[in-house]
Formats: sequence, structure tokens, C-alpha cells
Amino acid sequence: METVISSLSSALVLSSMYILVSLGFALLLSIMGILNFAHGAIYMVAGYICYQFSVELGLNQWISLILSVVIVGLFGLFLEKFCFRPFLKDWFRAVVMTIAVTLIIETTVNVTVGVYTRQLPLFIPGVFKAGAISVSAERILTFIAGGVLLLLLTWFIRKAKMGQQMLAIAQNSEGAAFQGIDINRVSAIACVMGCALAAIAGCLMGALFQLSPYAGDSMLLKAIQIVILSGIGSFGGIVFAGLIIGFIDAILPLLTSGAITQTVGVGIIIVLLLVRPQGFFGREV
Amino acid sequence: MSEQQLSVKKQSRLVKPAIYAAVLVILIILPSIIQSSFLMYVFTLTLIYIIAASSLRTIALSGQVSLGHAGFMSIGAFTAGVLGQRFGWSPWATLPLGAFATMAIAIIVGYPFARLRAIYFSMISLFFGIGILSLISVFQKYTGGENGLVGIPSLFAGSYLANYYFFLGLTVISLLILWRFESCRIGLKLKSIAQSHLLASSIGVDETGYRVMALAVGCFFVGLAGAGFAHYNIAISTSSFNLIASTNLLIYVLLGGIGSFVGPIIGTVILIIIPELFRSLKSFSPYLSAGIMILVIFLIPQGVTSLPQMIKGWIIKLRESRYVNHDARN
Amino acid sequence: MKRRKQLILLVSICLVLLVTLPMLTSCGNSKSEENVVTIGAPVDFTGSSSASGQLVYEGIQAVEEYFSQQGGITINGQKYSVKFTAEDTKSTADGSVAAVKKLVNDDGLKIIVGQSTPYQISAANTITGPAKVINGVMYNTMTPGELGPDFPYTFLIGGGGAVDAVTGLLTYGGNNYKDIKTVTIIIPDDGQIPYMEPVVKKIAEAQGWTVLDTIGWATSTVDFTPIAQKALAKNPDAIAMTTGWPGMIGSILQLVRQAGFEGLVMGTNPAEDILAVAGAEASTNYIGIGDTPTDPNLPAKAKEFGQIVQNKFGHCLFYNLWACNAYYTIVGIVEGAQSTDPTAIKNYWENAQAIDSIWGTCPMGGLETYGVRHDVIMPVPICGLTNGQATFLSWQEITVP
Repeated sequence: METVISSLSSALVLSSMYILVSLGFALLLSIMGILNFAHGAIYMVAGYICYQFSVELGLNQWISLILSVVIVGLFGLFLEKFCFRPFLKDWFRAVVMTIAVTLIIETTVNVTVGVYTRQLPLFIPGVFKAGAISVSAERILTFIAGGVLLLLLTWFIRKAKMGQQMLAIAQNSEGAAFQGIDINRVSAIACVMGCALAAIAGCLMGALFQLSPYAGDSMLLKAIQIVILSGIGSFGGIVFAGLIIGFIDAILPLLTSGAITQTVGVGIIIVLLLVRPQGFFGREV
Repeated sequence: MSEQQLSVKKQSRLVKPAIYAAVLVILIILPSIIQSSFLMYVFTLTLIYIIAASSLRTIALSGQVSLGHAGFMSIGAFTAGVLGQRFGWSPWATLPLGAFATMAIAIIVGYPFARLRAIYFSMISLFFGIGILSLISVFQKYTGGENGLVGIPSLFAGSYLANYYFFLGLTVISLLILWRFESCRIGLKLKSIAQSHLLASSIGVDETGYRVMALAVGCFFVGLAGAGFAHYNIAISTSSFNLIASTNLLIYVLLGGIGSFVGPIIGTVILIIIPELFRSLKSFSPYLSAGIMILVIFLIPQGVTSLPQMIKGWIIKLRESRYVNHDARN
Repeated sequence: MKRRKQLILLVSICLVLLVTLPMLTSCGNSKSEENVVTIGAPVDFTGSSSASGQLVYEGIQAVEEYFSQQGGITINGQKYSVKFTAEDTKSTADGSVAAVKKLVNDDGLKIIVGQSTPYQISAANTITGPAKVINGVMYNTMTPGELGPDFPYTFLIGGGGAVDAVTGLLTYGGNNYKDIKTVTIIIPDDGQIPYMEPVVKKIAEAQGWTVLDTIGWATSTVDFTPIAQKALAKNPDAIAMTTGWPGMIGSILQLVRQAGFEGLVMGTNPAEDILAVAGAEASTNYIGIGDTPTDPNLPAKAKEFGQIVQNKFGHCLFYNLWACNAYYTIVGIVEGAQSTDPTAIKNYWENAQAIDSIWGTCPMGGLETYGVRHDVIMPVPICGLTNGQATFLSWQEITVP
């Protein structure tokens, strides 16, 4: 019984971590219709930047996080101008462009600081214990951050004017332009937000997992899995998708070997997709 | 049409086959120009990947862009590898067997997958590519999992020259078959399905059936490429067929230009051979690949195969402007 | 704007052709130079292992500089300079095949040193075996394709593989932690478990320990919480990880400490790396393998190389020394064999009584474990973490039958 409770709690925490990681990617895909394959690299580099400020330069870690988010968010402007704006109608080429950007970012990090073993110090030390549940405070922080950001994002899409404008552009960009929406400006803001969300995830997770130039690859995959499962266009679905994938990753390894875990996990996703291709709550594309 | 125009037309019809013939001749005498057996190895691998990339394009023609093509390649590779290395079957048997096994699996999963529309097919193929590798790892006892298989029997006892000509022949034949498939009636129907599936179904074309056929044909050849890879490389591991490999195949096709049959060929050649020549870059070689991608995407939007048309366009414009100037001066 | 684009395009295509065409024809025309011993090095410059790959390359450059300062080596009265050629393996099996083919077929090298991942080693053996090229591998996980009588030219030179490391680690644990009775072992589930598990069990039982469980983990695992939970499920006195990278071993350490486990944790990574990952609070009661390059008790040769690396690159990490060790040792073996012919080197190496490495003089062994006497048995540097401090503990001499 004890192991069941502790497994459930760790599954819950893992789910929220995956949700946190996928928010930026989901924003750009669902709202702007942009497949940002550079999401993983951005996530990764944010962790390194935070490390640079906090450990190498000695600044307060929270301030380093904010700095990192700002810098990486501004990088979103660059992404929008050079990767997405030139290829608005041609998502293939935009994807290849983001892959090229990923290669450049990963290689640069690799040849500069890739050789050092690094992990961000815990933002919040300590372990939270309640009966059979024992979770580190850091993970609880990420849990809360994931939940709060998801709620904020959902509110933003539903209620905020900018969010509505983004939705309009995704659904019909010409119509949106006719309405007087400045597509370039709104897209740029969306990219900044997407990158900033990736950066927050990168910094927080950088305290839980070792920083490595290629850490973004597996996280990108998780984000893609979650967004596909939840359905493009839905944020509520992200909760369900995150829970499913988080539970699979947290509980299955306890029961079977590593290879079987992955096979079963992917199998479940494939079956779910076959039954309901547009994900849980996605709109038809 | 005037005599002049007719002869011009005749000339332009001869140009393309002439180029292909010239390329073929060069490829045949290549081993005598290139001294390096390592480069021969790279070229032979490129041939194998050309088959894989071209087959990806064939599937994409039916509106299904597969992001898990390397996963299908691994089916061919591991079928050939396990049968060859663990059970001692002859490579001449396992090569076609790998292809057929991949085609069989493609048909099995093709039916449920083909019902999905474009972007959903891509997603599910992405997961399939990952899942098939995990499935292969589950049977570690036979497949070696990530550590893979080593010591797979090779064709022609590993002779570089023989393998090169064999794969050259195999690639040419495969490309011819894919080309025929694309331009024959079935292929045209496939393209029409991709264009508008509503229209196609309204004239009674059985979409799903044709899509499965495209998937089956494409996967047959990528399975062939996979089995060829296993027998040529002698060592395979699931790490050679992961998501990155699938994305690479897609990039080869896109770089060359998805609109043209030779697109994947050019893309594969550029993206495999150039980085191999610049090995001295060591840790910095991904910069080169990224640079190539960016260059091509920005400067050649339709892919490298649109280059001849672009150049033609410039030449025409150049002539026109000279003509205009000449006129204006008068 | 369009004109400019077209111009750039034209120029870049011309540049590419100009550069690549000559390279196509010049490849493979390497002339064998006089009086140079060239050793090939397949290195993971790109891909998932590129972190250690870059450190290995730094070690290679340090060793090259060392021998050039020494004026080279002497073979049969002749002075030979020592050069290394490194090729990228891209951290994959076929990248490894390509790199080794380039070194062996194109550059005609007779000695290569550097593979450290099982599938890369097996892949390389398929080329070096028939070509009768000495293949000095840096690691081993007991899978059939890596080392054995089928590969007469493959030797283990990196300070042994998983078996040597685990022997050192567990022997030290057994000698210094007398209250351990039960242990859980954690092995990567990449195909090595059927081969490693029996060997590790034997080593653990030699310490008087009972192995409660063997936990396998997929190398693609991101979050190790379930692995940690499984490891603690049967309440072992100690946990031993036979291989892994700091992100994994450090993560497990952090997780088990957070769950309240206070027993000994054994891993194969250096203490500093684990400290960086697990954080000061969890970093206690851990023993690992590695030595701080600044440790004053380092053997003299190791200190010398540490200095060279520090001067050249501004840092020196344990993996730099690990690489320096392998490449320094191979050169010494060539000199000991007094020949550049692989068969002569192989015969000398197999029967040598003492091999010179930067950790000191080492015996050869491994006949029973691997089927060939091809393992350079180097002492295992044991380091540890106590209350957030990384310290070097001692050199553990081992025997590998």
C-alpha cells in the first residue's frame, strides 16, 4: 500500500513536470500553428544560462532564473523573425529551420561548457514527508509552477485580448489581418511567451536533472507526445495527456523492464491516437 | 510549330536522359577515380540512403508524411540481422526477406493508420518509429537491443567493389520501380488522393486501399535499404534508426525538393557526403550541416532540384534585360 | 534583394564545389611517413557522449605534446615521433564503423585506441579483427562482441571495464564497510544484463554480501524515481550501480537520500561529478571511482599529465587523466614491443609481465573472465563523498582472473 501511495504521488509530480515542459511548445503549436522543434534546445540553454548567472557569477538563483527567462524570451523575437515569419505557409521549411537552430545551439553549448558536469542547485531545499509520501520540495515547486502556469495560459487564451488575437491568427490569418490585428507583432509576442515558458521549465528542471547539451531532445519528445495526445488547440487536454504520460513513465518501470515500459507507453499512445486522432479535446485540423 | 521550335523541343527532351546517362557513367567508373575505400564506403551508404529517402517521398506523395521511416528501416535491418547473425541464414535470403517483412508490417499497420488524415498520420508514424525500436529492444536476447547485432554476414564477403556495384544496381532498379509506380495509373490516383481526398472519394477511388498500397511499396524499399544496411555495415544498433534518423531522412527529401523525383537523391547526396568530407571539423561539424540546411532553405525555397529552373529563369531575365537595354538605347 | 540572394547562392555553390571536389580525389592518398608511429583514435566528438569525447581528445593532445617534448620513442635504435589521428564516431554504432574504416582503411593505421561504448566496440571489432589491427578499447560490459578469443587483436586498456571497476568498488566496500550484509545492484538494460549480472553477483558474494535484487534501467530514462523506488523496495544495506553517468548515479543518490535511505551507495563516477548533481545534502556515504587531479597523492606521471592538460586547456578533470592514461600506455606498449607491427605488439602485450601506465606499473590478466589475457589490470582509484565533501580515499588493487 505504501509503495502504491508513493508511486502515485511521484507519478503526479512527474506529470506536472512534463506539463510544465510542454507548455511553451503547446502555446506555439495550438495557438500559432507553429511547430517549434527548437523548443528542446531553448529549454536546455535556459538552464545553462541560469547556471552561468547563479553559480559562476554568484547572483541569487531566483534572479538568475528571471534573467535567463528574459534573455531566452528575447531570443523568441529572433526565432519569429528568421524562422517563422519567412515560412508562414510552409511548415516543412520552418521545421527544418528550427532543427538547424537546434543544432547550432546544442553544438555551441557542447563545445563551450558541455564537458563540465553541472546541475543547478536546488531552488528550495528540503523534503516534504507525509506518511508514505516523500517528495522533495523542489519537485513540489515544479508541480506548483506547472499548475499555475497552465492556469495562467488557459486564462490568457480565453480571456485576454492578446490571447484571442493569437487564436484568430491561427484559425484564419487573413481574416485576422482584416480585423486589424498586427500579425507580426502578435506572432512575435507569442514566440517570446513560448520561449519564456520553455526557459522557466528549463531552469526549474535544471535543478532536478543534470544539465547536458542534449537534454532538450528527450524533453521535446515528451512535449510532442503530450500535445499530440491532448489535441491541438486544447489546454485542458494537456492535463489529461500529461497525467497519462506521467503515470506511464512513473509507474510502468516499477512493474516491468525498461524496454517494455517504453513499448507499452508508446503502444498506449498509438491506440489512443487511432481511436481519437484529434486528441482528447483538440479541434479538427 | 516552326522547324526551329520543334528542334528546340527535341533537344530539350534529350537533355534530361542525357544527364542521367552521364551521371550513370560517372558512377560506374567512380571506383577507379576515387582511391579511398573509405569514400567508397560512404558512397555505398549514400546509395542505401537514397533508396530510403526516395521511398519516403513515394509515401509522402499520397499525402502521408511519415516521421517514423527509420523505424521501418530498422524492421528490415533487424530481420536481416537476426536471421543472418543469430540463425545463420544466407544474406541473399535475408535481404529480400527484410524487405518483405517490412512491407508486411506496413500493410498491417497501414490500414488503421491510413484512415488518419495528413498531420495525424505524421504524428502516429512518429510514435510508431519510436515504438518499433522499443519493441526490438524488448527482444534483446535476439536483437541485442541498444547494443545491437554485430557480425551480420555480408554480401560478396565484404568486397568494397562488389558491394558498391551491387548497391548501385539495386538503387537504380529500385528508383526505376518507384518512378514507374509514381507515373503509372496507380501513382496518379495516389497523387489525386493527396490533392483532394473529398474529390477523390467522390469519383469512387478507394482512398484507404491506395494509401496502404503507397505505404506498402514505400516500406518495401526502405526495408530493402535497411536489410542492405545491415549486410553492408555488418553491425547495427537501434541507435541508428531513432527519431533523429527519421528526421534526417525527411530533411534529405525536403532539401532536395519534394516536388521532384530526384529531389531526395540530391538531398541525400549533399547531406551525407559533404559532412563526411569535412570530418576534420570534429566537434564543430554540426555547424556545417546546420549551415547547409539554412543556406538551402533560404536561397533555394523549392529544394535543390529547382535549381536548374531557377538558373534558367535568371538566364532568361538576363537576356531580356539586355534586349530591353538594346531597345531603350534605340 | 533577390539579385543579392542569387549572387550569394551562386558564390556559395562555387565555393562548395571548389572545396569538395579536390577533397574527393585526395582522400586515401596518405603517404606513410618515415619514423612516425601514428595511432588512431575514434572519439565521440558529436552526439550524446560528446562531453566525455571532448575530454578524451584533450587527453590525446596532452599525450601527443608529452611525447613530442620527450623527442618521441625509440624502436630498434631509431627515433620515432608519436602522432594521433582522431575521427568522429558521432556516438553511434555506424558512426563508429565509419570512423574506424577511415582510420584503418584510408589512413592505414595499425593501432587504434578509444572506443568506450559496447555497441561501438563490437562494431569496430568487425573491422579491426579481419584487418589485424590492434584495437585498444577503453571499456567493457561483458557482451559477446566486445572482447574475447574471437578478437585476438582487441585489448582492454582504459583501466578495465565494468568488471574491473565493479571489482575495485565492491572490494573496497567490502573491506571498509563491515556492516553490509545485503546489496541491490543496478545495471543498464541495454543488453548487458545477462552477461554482467552473474559476474557482479560473484564479486558481491565474494565480499560476503547477498544480492537482493538486480534492477535494470532503460538508457533513455529521464526520471529515475521509479528506479530508486525499486532499488529500496527490498531494504538493502547498500546499493551498487555498475555503470552510469553523473546525471543517473547522482540522481539515484539524491532520490534514495530523500527517501530516507542512509546506507552506502556505490557508483562508478567521480565524487565531484556526483556532488555537482546530487547536491551537498545528499552527497554522503557514497563511494565512486575517480581521483581529483589536484590530489597531492597522485602518482608522479599522472601529476605530470594533469599539469600538461591544465596548461593547455585551463582545466583538468578525471576523464582527461583517464584518456591520458590509455594513450600514454599504448605508446609504452609499442615501445616495449620494439615494433610497429600489430602481430608483434599483440604477442608482446599478451605475455607482458608489467605494463607502464600513469597510475604505475600494472599486470596483465583476465584470462578466466574474458577468455584472453588482454586486460591491463590497473588499480582502481576510490573516491568518496562525506557530508558534501569529495575526497580521495585510496587506490584499490584488484585481481581479475
